[in-house]
Amino acid sequence: MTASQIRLKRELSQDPVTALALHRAPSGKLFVFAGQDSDLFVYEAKNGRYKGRFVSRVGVFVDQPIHGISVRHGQVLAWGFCHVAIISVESLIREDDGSDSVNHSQAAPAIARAIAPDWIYHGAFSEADPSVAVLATAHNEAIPLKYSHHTGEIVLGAVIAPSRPMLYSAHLSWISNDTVLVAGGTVFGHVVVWKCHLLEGGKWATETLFNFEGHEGSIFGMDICTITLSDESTVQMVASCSDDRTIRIWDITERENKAYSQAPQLNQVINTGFGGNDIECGDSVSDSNKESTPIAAVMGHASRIWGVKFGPGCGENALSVYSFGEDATTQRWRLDISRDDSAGESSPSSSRLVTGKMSHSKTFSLHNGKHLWSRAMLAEDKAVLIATGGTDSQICLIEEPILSDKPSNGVGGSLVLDASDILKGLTCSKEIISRYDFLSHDHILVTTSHGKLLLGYLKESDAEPKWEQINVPEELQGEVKLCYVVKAIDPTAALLGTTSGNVYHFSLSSKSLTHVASMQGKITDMTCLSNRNRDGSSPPLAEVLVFLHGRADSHYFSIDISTGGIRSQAQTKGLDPRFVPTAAGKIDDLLVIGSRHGWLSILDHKDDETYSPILDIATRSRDTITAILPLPPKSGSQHTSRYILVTSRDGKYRIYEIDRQPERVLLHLRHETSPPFGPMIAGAWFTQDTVPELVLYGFRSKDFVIWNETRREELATIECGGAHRTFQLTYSKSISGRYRFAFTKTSKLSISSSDQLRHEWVKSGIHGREIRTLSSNGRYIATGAEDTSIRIWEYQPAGDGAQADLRCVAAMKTHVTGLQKLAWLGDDYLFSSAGNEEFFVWRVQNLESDYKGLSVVCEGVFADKSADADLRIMDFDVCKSSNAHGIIVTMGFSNSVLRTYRYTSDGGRFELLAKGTYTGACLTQTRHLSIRNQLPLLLTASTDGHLALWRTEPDEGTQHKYVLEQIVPLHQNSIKSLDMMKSGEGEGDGYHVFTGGDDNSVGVTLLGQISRDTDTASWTFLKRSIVRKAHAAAIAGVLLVRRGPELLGVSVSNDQRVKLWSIPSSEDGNIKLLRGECIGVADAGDIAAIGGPESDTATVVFAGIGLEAWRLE
Amino acid sequence: MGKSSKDKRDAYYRLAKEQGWRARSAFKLLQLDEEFDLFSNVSRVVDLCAAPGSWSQVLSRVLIKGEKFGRSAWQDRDAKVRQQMLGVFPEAFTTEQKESIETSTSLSGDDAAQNNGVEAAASRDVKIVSIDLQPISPLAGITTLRADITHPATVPLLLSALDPSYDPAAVAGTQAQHPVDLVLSDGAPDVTGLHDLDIYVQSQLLFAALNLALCVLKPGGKFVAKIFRGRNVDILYAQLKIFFEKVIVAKPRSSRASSVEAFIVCLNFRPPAGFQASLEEPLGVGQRLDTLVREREMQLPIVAEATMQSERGTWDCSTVSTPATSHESGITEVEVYDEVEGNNMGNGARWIAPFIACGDLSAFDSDASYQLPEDYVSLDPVQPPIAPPYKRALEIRAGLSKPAKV
Repeated sequence: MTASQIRLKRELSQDPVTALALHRAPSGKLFVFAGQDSDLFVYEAKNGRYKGRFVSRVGVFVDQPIHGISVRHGQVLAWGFCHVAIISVESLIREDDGSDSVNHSQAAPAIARAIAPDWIYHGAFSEADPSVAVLATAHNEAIPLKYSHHTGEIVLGAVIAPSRPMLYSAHLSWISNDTVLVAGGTVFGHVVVWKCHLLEGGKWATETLFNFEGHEGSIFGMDICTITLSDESTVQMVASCSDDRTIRIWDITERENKAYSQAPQLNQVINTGFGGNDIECGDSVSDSNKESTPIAAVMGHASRIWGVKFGPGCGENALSVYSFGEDATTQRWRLDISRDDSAGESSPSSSRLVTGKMSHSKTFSLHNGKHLWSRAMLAEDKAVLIATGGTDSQICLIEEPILSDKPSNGVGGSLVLDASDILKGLTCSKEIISRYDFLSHDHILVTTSHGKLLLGYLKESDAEPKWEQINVPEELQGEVKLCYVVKAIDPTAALLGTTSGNVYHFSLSSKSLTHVASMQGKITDMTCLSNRNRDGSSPPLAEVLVFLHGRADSHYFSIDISTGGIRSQAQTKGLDPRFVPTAAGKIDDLLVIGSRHGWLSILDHKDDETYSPILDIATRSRDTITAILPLPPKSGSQHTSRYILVTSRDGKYRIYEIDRQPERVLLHLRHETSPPFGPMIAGAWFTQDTVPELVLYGFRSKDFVIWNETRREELATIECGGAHRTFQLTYSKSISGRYRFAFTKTSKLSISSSDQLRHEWVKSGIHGREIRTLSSNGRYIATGAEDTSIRIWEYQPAGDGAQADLRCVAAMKTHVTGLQKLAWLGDDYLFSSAGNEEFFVWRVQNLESDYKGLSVVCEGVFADKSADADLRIMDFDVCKSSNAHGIIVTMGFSNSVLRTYRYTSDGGRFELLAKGTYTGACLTQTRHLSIRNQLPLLLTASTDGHLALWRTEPDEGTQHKYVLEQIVPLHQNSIKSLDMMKSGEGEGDGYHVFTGGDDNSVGVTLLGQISRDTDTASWTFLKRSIVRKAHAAAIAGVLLVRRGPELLGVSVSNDQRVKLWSIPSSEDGNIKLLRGECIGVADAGDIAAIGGPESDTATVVFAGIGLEAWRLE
Repeated sequence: MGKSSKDKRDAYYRLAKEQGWRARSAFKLLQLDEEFDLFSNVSRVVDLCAAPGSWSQVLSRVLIKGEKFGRSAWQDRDAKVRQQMLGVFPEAFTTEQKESIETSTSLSGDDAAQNNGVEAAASRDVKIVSIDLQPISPLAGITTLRADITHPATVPLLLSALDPSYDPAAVAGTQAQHPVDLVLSDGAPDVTGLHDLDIYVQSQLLFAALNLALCVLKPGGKFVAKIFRGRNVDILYAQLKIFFEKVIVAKPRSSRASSVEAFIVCLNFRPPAGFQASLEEPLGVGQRLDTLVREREMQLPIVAEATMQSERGTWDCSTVSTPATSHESGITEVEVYDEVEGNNMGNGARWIAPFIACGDLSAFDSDASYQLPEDYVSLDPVQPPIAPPYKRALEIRAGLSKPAKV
């Protein structure tokens, strides 16, 4: 392969989703059109699979992201900046092609393109004429567009504008065959509404209708709608959302008896900047300027609001409004509107002012990081579909049933019940609901304070359950009253535990209670360790551990599920009296019990009746352990898994390996991380998929959350008031999103149900913030982002018609500042640095389980910090110590200091070996060149554009100091990126150093060894060369790749170009540019390569805002 | 971030407070001036997007009060001493400089701060007009206007502020009778995070500033404005080159390397023959500029330009015909012709302006952290920051979450 034949080909792009549209094809299929950078992607959604099916991809623009898509008359109108394009829907969705495989040979769709004079914010086809559309620009202009199907040409008409304020958003709505309503949101927070009449012969007329002031920040999103009120009158409204965190609804109904025209005159000095109107709440409106008073205004979201859309009606004179924010949430609001009666009875109702009230009804937090850049809505008969796209490159589709008019307690699949609701007609006393548990998705068993036992049949998700009172013999009613725990052990049976120390068995088939056992003390909890119903053993058995108040020791029972008869029983003995058991699991014959204070105890059978501890360990947390469960075994393996998963109230879950040695048992921590909810994880399960997925549940402030950790997707969010309450959950291990959640709030029982997931991820995504650093160990790629999290991914290259994919195998959020640098050492060590002098050592391993999550545990935490611990560790290098004792770590700090440590995994210790100080300039790059006398020789680069070589000299005691050997200028200012590679295989070979600067240049420096003697070895600069105008902006990532005899350089810049360079192998040649490509990754942070140098192709990964993988072939 | 940790993280934030500047950005203008000698022979200046007024403050102190600011205003003396100790950058030091280092290191920080502004003869017929949307606290000798630079109505406002006898009804209604020497703009929008929208809005501010400059700048005048170095910035460079002989993109050391911000320094204003600034046809929309760029390209011989910083810190342009040249610094300069890119990639003609990092190497590093003396007292900012539009939202939220106090 010669350099001229080498190409870069994009294989995967995970860029921000900047435009979305939904389209229901005549066949009934639902298509999602998405703009990611300059390409239009089509997915089929809601096709019964978990993820949307990729249908097609087409490059619409060159070097320009798509900012909007609108689909009408079988045509896609797409725009970005001043570019506009029209493509037929048919050519994109290929409906005739029934097979799943994408037909690559099919001709690329024909695209008509045109260039408008200004940035386009919105575009809409005429309802009547499929060849006519109008565009709205950033200067409040409307541009008529004419599209010829025959010639495939777009002709743009002259610009129409009544005034030219600078806008941050615009929305068009055709109100007749020749009239468009234009709503513009200005930079200064004004809402401008005008009509554009398109007349015969290319003539036009404009009519300015409204100019609303009140927002205190730029307006980022608008929508227009017309609704019919209960008095048959219609109201036209515009919604606006802004930098000021408010959503406002304005009445733009044209009324004949009023003059509206408030058009500002050109050249007249208008009030610029922001007005100081108060944010109006509800119906308290000031009378000063009714014309500029919104129907309703409400504050929402944690930060800026990027978009607003009117949803369908939700009752009389009410409709839903959806808003989309920088905080990555979608929120649903209820807008109730009414006529202002104060205007007097005499005036006709249609001319009376409209007032309204907006109230928050639901928050969907389905995206990562920040920014919902795009949204689309499709209102259908039974449901409204809402698609959202974000910086995280994810596309979510929410399905919201059209809400019924009747107010009921069953809205949205949730029920609120108190005892009197259930006991209707049964009794009329002041009973309250006491304890309960779900037997299955269909049954709930409830006890009351008066000793009643009730069985509820739950059929449909929002229908009232059918209740049956179980006949409890009189002598047992007192016992049911004392019931403290209801625990289902099977869909057909439950146990009741009382404060009097009795256990009763409830059978669904006989609907009766049977006494099981009695013990000394109050029963506080029961844990079902196993249910041997499924494996068909006879009789079906369940194993239960019963916890008693104030006792460390618990009772173990093996119970016949159908009769409640005890098959065997035992007691735990020998636990520390302070041990308060809260959770338990059983792995083969071992019992694992967790305590309130974060201790884990492993117990083994001492004899038939006793379990005794054989190992006690304190976990890394002093918080309550909430659940213990075994990991799925590896398929084909005879043994049960040797791993347990432990969830805790500290918001983390941990995986331990049980190491059974002949003489003893050890427990090794293999994985520790916290999901993005918390601070409390209440439990977990593994799904029954071929590759089991981990699902965790717990609480985040006032919500109960079910979270798929494997896919990193939030399956359910239920507002319940917080963690401190009685609750029960039943879920399906096979159907995602099928659950019932019951909780007690103010003595009432609430049940929230879902039969299936109400939202789906059409496309999975990545970090929702800038990725700052990348590192690849050949198999896995680690990414570190501004969101302070680290993720590890497995890259699956494209093949056999399948798209290349990136699968997240681990996510760690331990840093509290944005990541600076990640580096692998071998396959099992990952190092990370960030601000606040944070530096962590991660031990990474594969688990022998069908669960494919990677196990990652933080093994070392750097603690030798400065007094204020406020420096950034800009870069570091790691290598194995030459005498195989520990790992050498050299860090470069933002205050110009270099420090080298020996890290030893045993106890995670950092021992300072050497330190040095540069001129005061921030060190941006730090690399080991070679090791001399156990200490590294260094190359550093800094914000002053210089490269420096360092060696060590003995200092006080056993320590060494760094001495500057040589320093040379190369770039004009900050060296933002550096990669180096040995010039050859030999010991005496030098290094090629490839650098990218803030000064738009790339540099190539050759380093040579002066002496090869181990005691005197040192390095020198042989040659430096620089390309001054390599890019048009700062170069944040460079990479060296060897392809056969060729050394290639890859650079990526903020100008969104990737350049491929040929690097000279000796001092003679000069660097040459081979290729340049546009890339969708903005604010690029780093480059990494997957695949070794020996393979024919290599994949280069670029990350910043978005991530792309390109094949070098 | 607290005040004191910001003092350490950001040397220029601390220096600005110590030296009485309204914002750290004052140093950016001072460092640009040091490199390009922006203020020589300048008496009439327009400062756009001026709030909180730190650039106007520089203008006021330099042009009106006649103060002089040199490197000592932003020099990191410790760094200089350490550079000397390490024997780094020997070429950067003349004997004279070394002496000045020695004398200046003997001064305490406070003294030096006061000494670096030396009173000189107050300047001649100076006229400075500053414009911003936000109010600017008054500054000695400066006319401040509150207006939107993107609004056409601002042109007559500015013209009459520059020239009290200005008559909008006159024939050359959009041209200043007494043009200015320098137009500055440090304006930037609140970024959204949607990169190309931010770049577009920033370019609109730049074109608005350029449009005003075209109305008021005298031939040979200078124009300095903030730009975002992102996608398609090379198109902007090409378009600015229509109006100025020299266009350089400069990054002062006081501007962080981690920021996309840089400054476009345009020298020797020479609008194309027959070009008339127009309110009806503003720059920045339509293909007018791109057409001009392409026309200009047709007329020019193809030459490659390279820029080198000479020892004095000024700069020259020279034409390089060989692909690689060696320089005294020992760096081989490689000229690369980007044939791959071409000029017909849809969004307009491109040209990469030469890049210059300015403010010398002994300047404080805006990316570095600094250790402060233990007894260092953190100062309050000279001017509180401008309230963001969501300030009220924060207040209201804070009010809602707090229980009502009786």
